[in-house]
Amino acid sequence: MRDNKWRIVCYVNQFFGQIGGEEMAGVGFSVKDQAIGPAMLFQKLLGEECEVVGTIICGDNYFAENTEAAAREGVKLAAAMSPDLFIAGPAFNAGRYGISCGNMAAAIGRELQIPTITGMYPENPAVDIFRKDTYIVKTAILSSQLRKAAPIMAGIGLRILRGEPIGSAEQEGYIKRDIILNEEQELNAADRAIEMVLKKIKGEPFKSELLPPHFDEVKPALPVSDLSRVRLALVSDGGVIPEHNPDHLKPNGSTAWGKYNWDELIAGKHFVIHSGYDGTWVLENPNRLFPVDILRSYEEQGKLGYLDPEVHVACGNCASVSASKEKGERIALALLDKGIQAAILTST
Amino acid sequence: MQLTVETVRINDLQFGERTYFDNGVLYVNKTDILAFAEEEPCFDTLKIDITRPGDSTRIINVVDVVQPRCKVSGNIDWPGVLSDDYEIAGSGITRAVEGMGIVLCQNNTYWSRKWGSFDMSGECAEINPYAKIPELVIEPLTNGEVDFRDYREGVRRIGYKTSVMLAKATMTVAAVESETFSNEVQYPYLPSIAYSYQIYSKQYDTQNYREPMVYGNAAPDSLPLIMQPTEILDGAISLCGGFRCVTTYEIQNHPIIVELMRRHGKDLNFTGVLITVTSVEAKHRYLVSKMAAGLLKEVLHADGLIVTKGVGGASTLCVGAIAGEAEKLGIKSVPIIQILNGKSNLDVECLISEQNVDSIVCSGTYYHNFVLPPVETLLGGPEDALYLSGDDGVIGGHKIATGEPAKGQVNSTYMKQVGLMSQIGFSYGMALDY
Repeated sequence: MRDNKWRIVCYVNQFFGQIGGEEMAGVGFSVKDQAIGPAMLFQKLLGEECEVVGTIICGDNYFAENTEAAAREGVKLAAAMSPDLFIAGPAFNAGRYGISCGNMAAAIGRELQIPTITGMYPENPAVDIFRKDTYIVKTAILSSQLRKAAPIMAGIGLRILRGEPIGSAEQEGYIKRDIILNEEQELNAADRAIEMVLKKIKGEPFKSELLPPHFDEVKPALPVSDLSRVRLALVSDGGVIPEHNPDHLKPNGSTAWGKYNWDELIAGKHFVIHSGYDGTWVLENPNRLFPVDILRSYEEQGKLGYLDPEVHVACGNCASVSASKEKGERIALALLDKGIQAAILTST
Repeated sequence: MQLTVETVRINDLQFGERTYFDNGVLYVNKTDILAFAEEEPCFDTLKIDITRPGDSTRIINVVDVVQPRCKVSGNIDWPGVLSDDYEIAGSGITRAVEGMGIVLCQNNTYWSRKWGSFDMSGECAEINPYAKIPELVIEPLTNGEVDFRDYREGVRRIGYKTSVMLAKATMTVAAVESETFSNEVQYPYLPSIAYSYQIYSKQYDTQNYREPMVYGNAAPDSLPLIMQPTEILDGAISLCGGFRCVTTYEIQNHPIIVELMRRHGKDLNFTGVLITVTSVEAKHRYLVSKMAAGLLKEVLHADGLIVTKGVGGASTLCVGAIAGEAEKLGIKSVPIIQILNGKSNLDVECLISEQNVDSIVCSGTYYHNFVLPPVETLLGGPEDALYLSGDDGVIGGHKIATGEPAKGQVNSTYMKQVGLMSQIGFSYGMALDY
């Protein structure tokens, strides 16, 4: 048992803060130096080791009208109470309340470097925005289910404070935070596979450990109508870069990319940073990765309007889908900036 | 084909005046192993150490772990690797020594990019089978520049020769256990299961060196082969590269083949093994997957299939394609795959996109990270060696070394810890969303 109790700060909206209903949603921030509403339940659940030192209350509309400013205001109020743990909501399926709980938990976690927890119905629109920034415990739609969600929220909070491990999203009941970790199982993968295939043959129920994803359908752009007038650029995930690696690409899991003048890249010292393929053949002739030689001859013959002298290089090895999307968006913006109308993407 | 594996168990491993087995202790005379280095012109000598469970020891630059085994009857040892004589492996009696491993290190060349290591104590050791047995660690020392091909194959020969020698040293005592593996008699009324084993991908080979994995031969663009399961347990497939999340020890004790054999005739019928390699071109992948599915159905008459892969994304696409084609022919298929990164969620990171492959085992994410404390003893490299991450090595002809001193606190990953993640199902981990 520690000498001092851990300091807990809670956040609720005007309704749970007992100020009023929708008619009071425009009310600004206030702080009570005690547990109000759901915070009283959290105090009970967290027990002797913790003390709810304050409850921050804010109207749903006040927060939603300027979320950034409101979050800043809320962080300041929380910081003044030096919390060890911050608990927001739970917000259930309430949209604006979800946004304020998510913003508060994310901002306080980031600014004060303390653990934060909230709770929401999985389809609350705030879930997708904030699930990576805080523990969002899954709740039912209605606030009458507070007594089901609160013990889960308090349990996670207490174990984080004690430095105890938190299990997987499914096991604990929170929404996945985009962290993948391994857990040792009773059976090795070989035995699990044999069990699974036998069940599948017999038509018995089984649980697949992964399922094929449903990727976004990308609608292809319209074809280039006149190649002789188009401004074309080259993009690749093949990772041929200058030796000094100015953009800090990594051999795998890289989130960075760079654009390099082709002639300077090839004339200078360069290498293939991608560690998922044998770069020997690209180094022998880099046109195998970026078909600049052919495209320049097209340009000279007037078959191609313009070839961007810069190539755009990423490293695709072990890249996550979300990181790739982000890289793609940034590269696309850079191409638009240069007035590029078409791009050829080569992969390895 | 019928293979009997007889087992002796050792309680301890120690250096001795000569190599012999007595009262549960296997004594190893270093000179006997050093003699193997004399047959390898690229090595000056070898550094040989013993480390035990619980030691504050980190072994780096690990390329393989081997179990001591030798042929007692039936075939020669490691045909095509230790001899130019060719025999088809997998018959007769093989002696296996349980309770130790031979760890092979590759310390002075960057020509392998998937560096392996493991600690004999601590967080990772608790879940690592190789940290639970004494290990004989062999590190070749060279004099100057050595061709990496000679180096790799030299390390493999020394490791396998040591394995044979140590197993032979136990022949003075009778085996404590023996198990016979055979699927010659088929039980077609039971669910018939086949195994599709992707042994190799050339995407990780450098300088056009093709790992000679099938009886000492390279098989870079091989089409599917049918091989007897006992062949694989007995020396047909041998690794010769950087660590890629499978060891010779795991192949010698191949968990899928051993378990299917044990249950053969009881609750399933083990129909056979198909060997494939990763296709690096789509055209090859289409052919391999369709050909594999056809062989599984028409030749092996499989109702069900387990498919395993080598390291990497392209390899996953290939096993997904095989499983997808097999499912189209009515063969229930379970691939074992991994997740290639850690900052995402399982809904989007499964690299198999065939929607009819809805029964998948996941043996973990590569990037479950560990921070490991400093150790007293470092093996497998010089005292001042760096702990190279998966990002280090010779990449595209360029040497990258960003690692921390290996003896100190290091950042490691699940994939880099030899013993934690096995492509062929030897390991216990599973990836979960957090």
